[in-house]
Amino acid sequence: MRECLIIGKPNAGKTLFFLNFAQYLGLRHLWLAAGGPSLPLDRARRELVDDRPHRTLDLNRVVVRVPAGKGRKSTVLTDTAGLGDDINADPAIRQAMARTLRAIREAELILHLVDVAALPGSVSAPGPVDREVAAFARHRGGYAVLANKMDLPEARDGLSRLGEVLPGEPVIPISARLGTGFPRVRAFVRRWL
Amino acid sequence: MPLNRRPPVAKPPSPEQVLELLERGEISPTEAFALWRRLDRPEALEPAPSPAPRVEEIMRELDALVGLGQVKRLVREIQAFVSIQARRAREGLVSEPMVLHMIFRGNPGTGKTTVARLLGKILRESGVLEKGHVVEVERADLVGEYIGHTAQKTREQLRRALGGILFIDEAYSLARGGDKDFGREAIDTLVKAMEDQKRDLILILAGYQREMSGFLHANPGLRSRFPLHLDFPDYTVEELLAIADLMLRQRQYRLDAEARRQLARRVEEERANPFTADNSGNARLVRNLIERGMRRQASRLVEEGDLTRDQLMTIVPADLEGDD
Repeated sequence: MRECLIIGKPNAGKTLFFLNFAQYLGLRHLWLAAGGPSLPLDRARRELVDDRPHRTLDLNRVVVRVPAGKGRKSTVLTDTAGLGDDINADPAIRQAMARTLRAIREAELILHLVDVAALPGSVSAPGPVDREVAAFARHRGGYAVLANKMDLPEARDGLSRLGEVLPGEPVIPISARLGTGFPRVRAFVRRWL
Repeated sequence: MPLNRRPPVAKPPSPEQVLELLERGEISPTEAFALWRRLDRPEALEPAPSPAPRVEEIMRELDALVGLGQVKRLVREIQAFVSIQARRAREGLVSEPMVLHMIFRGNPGTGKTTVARLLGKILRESGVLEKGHVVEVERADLVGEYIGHTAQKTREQLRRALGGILFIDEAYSLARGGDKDFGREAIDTLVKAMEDQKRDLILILAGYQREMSGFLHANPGLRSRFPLHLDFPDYTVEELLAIADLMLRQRQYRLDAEARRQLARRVEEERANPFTADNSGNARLVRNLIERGMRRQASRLVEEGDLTRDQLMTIVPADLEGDD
């Protein structure tokens, strides 16, 4: 089964996108990599998502089914730990980042989330690591940039500035919170299955 | 074969070593990706034996194809040009920018795709293309259903082909519907990509001789952007029989003398028939005849008890008779 990897800087909104997009594709529960009983999605949202960076350290995976042709095709949707521009002081976070990089090397399909509503200089603002990820990932199978947080007023300017950091990449504007742009993301995923 | 090794250079870290550096906090994720990218570039690979033997191997594969004299000559020329340009660049001489987009003209089944695949490999081994894979597309893969859809679909295919060859079969069908057709948009997107990505993508437009000539005539801008034209003539009857022998050998079958004569007659008939002439010069006809023969032979033999190795290998005239 193909793996569709969600990557991006800390606090770009990866986990909220992971949960809401999985729900959009019909998922209701998930099992975490850390173990434990299945979690309904609304509880997962409460427990896994908040506005502190580096909340996600494990690779959490769910199997989702995407309509393709007459039937449906399954793919693994994977949430990853955020990648910062610089060296992180916490060994656990560095290990989590290494896991993310290993997954990037193997993924067939990469959804690269960027926070276009971030103020320049904040932890999730598009930066050098986004540029490097894009340069590395764009030649490997499917790769798309998802410009997240389009529901926030700052996002309009951020989206127009994104071209400076990631020139020439295909960008799908989304709001992970509201689900805007999800149909286009699904169409993109479907094309690569 | 003597290994033409360059003096050993400091070994770049492996992808896994890069991750260890990241875990130990010696490099940032940003630097890790930069290292990986350097690692993935061909010149940073292990001090490998010179690529020449690989190219020769592929050239032998090309030579093993039946017929196609002019095509083989041109592919050799391209390979020679590419390798001399690379040597010139090493000596600091001006090296000609290489435009290697091509037109392949010929009927179906005359070897266009096969040659494209070999070219991809040759150009990868020569360092012109990063991957050398061939992405085969046709109109439906490029042309969309609403405004803007076409450019998106075409760019998608271009991206899949990056580092390799985008092979567009029946390319003239892009110009089919006139000015209002979205095919126009696909052509424009392709042309734009050719300007922007001269180095990491080769386009091959393929199709029937006549239609391709008309298409290029109607789009003079395209003609100048595709400097290399390869014609794939129909195979002669002798060449088709040679192809048949090759196919049979690979599958460990053989024709008895009468079956061989029958196959020759059959191919000649198809060639003489004006309704099938366009497809008669192609290897696909031979392959279909042989594969059907193999199935017929199987149904003829399956009822019998003791079979010799010889019987299991031999196709007799009855296996080739009639139509499906």
